[in-house]
Amino acid sequence: MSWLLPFALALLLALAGPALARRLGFAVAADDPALALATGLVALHAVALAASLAGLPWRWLFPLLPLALAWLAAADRTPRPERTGRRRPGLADLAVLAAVGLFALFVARDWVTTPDFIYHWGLKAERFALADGIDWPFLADPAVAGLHPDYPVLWPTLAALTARLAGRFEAPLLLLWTPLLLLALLLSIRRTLAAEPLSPAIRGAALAWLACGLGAFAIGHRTAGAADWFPALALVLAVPALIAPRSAAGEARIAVAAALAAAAKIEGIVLAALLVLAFGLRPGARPRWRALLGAGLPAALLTLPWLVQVARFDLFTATNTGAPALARCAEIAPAVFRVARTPEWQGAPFALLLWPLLLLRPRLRALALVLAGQAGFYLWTYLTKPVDTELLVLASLPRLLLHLLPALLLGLLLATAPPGESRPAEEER
Amino acid sequence: MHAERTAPPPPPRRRPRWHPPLLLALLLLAGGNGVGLVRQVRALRAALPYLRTADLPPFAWRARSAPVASLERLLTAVDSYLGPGVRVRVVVPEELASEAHYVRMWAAYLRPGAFWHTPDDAPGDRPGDLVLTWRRRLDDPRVALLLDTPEGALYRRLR
Repeated sequence: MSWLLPFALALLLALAGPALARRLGFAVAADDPALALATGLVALHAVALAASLAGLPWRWLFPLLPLALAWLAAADRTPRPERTGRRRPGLADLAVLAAVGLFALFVARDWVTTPDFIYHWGLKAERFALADGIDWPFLADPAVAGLHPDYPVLWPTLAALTARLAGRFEAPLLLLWTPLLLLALLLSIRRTLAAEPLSPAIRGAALAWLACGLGAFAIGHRTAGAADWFPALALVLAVPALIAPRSAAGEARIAVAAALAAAAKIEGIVLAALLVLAFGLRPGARPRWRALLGAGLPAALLTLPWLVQVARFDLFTATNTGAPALARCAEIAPAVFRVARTPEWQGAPFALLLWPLLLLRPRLRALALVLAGQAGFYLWTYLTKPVDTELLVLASLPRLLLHLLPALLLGLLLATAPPGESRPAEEER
Repeated sequence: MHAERTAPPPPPRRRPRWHPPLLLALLLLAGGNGVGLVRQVRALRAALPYLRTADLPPFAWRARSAPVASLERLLTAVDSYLGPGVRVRVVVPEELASEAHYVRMWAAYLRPGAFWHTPDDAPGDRPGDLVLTWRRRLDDPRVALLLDTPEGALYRRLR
């Protein structure tokens, strides 16, 4: 029955995360399961990071954490808002369940584990679980320099905590977090679509399209255990706040999304900054500086201690950056074209060429800015990393596209849909 | 009750439109991706027997494949020597020397308590450090054989 543990922990986090966030003054919506899970993940990571920095073994948290989470969930007296943007289950929801279920089945049998889980994320998680905290001296060992010791540690921390709760490190059990993230991502897309004035058939077809496409990539590219699902979820979570006027609920949404992205990957830190800046550019009644502060604070509070530790233990990898060389474009372009044709993505990367369509709709321009900024960061990385450029693009771009494509495809759908009154939940509160 | 009477009515929601071209495009895309999903699953199922049994180079290893099982057997045999914090150098057959990193990472993943190195990536060996050879034997006076198995051997560095 231990395979139930990630699901039980996810449920507890989804119940307690928003309650904690509301106590801290963030207007996190109570009726969005994907946002609730993301909030819980961010809160759990913050506690685990703080404990590690304070030298507190994680095992001391275990008796307290479930109690605190249960108390928070039970003590949350926030009235549930009127349920908006919901609809009855349909055929598209079956497609979602089929994609997530198939993926989970392969994950549980350890068939689709990303090599990065062996060489990178999973190994860190094992060391963290053994050390009962974030094992900074291990990350600082020169022999593990190839392990990306300078990467943010949300995913290994979550896997290590799950392993300690389970009492053993069993990869398929921990990898079940990945289908959960896919499910959260699809639920978030479903909710965003439900708030649009689209016919049920269009919403259903769009959801089925994205569910099958993402499911195919998740399985075909062996993405179980990849940290790339966190920034992908973060960007999709942020879409409703990026397409609506600034509001307290939108600010909380961006705060959670940015913190989730920043705590998961270095690319996520760039994404977090872009999300906060783009949100700040949206029209709204609240002073812009307060919106920027509120939306960016959680990400900053998680990033700064990590940055201090990276500097303290000299973890920054020398190959992360170098001098830009435009000559690398000659290697980048053909490699990008090869990646775009990779069967796992089924042509979806060519949707990047449709990005200008987002600019045609004023409410989608903030999303367009974030997507362009993030893609530009990847291009900059390819131009500056002093490694074999072609190999780097071929090895990394299929995964990095996962950060962008779900939100881009969702945005394109909103751009091509007939104009009407969008009523994202945030606008109504 | 008073608040309910004076509250402004909610804005009328525009009736959803069918927008046939978009619906048709989405249905085609959804169908295409559905076929793609099935093809990915079938491709994976077809490839698994090969991936499991083939003697692939270390960078292509996957969980429960034949080479990983071989390494696991070797590690199980030497488990009693692999206490927490023990430093172990991994040595692989010469033809795989360029991929020693991947073998080392698999060993680290399978036995995370020890510190795993390759001949290229760590400062000098110390007396007492262990040397694990996978599918290879050493003929080196600086090491003493501790355990020999069909999958490889374990040595202790003497000086």
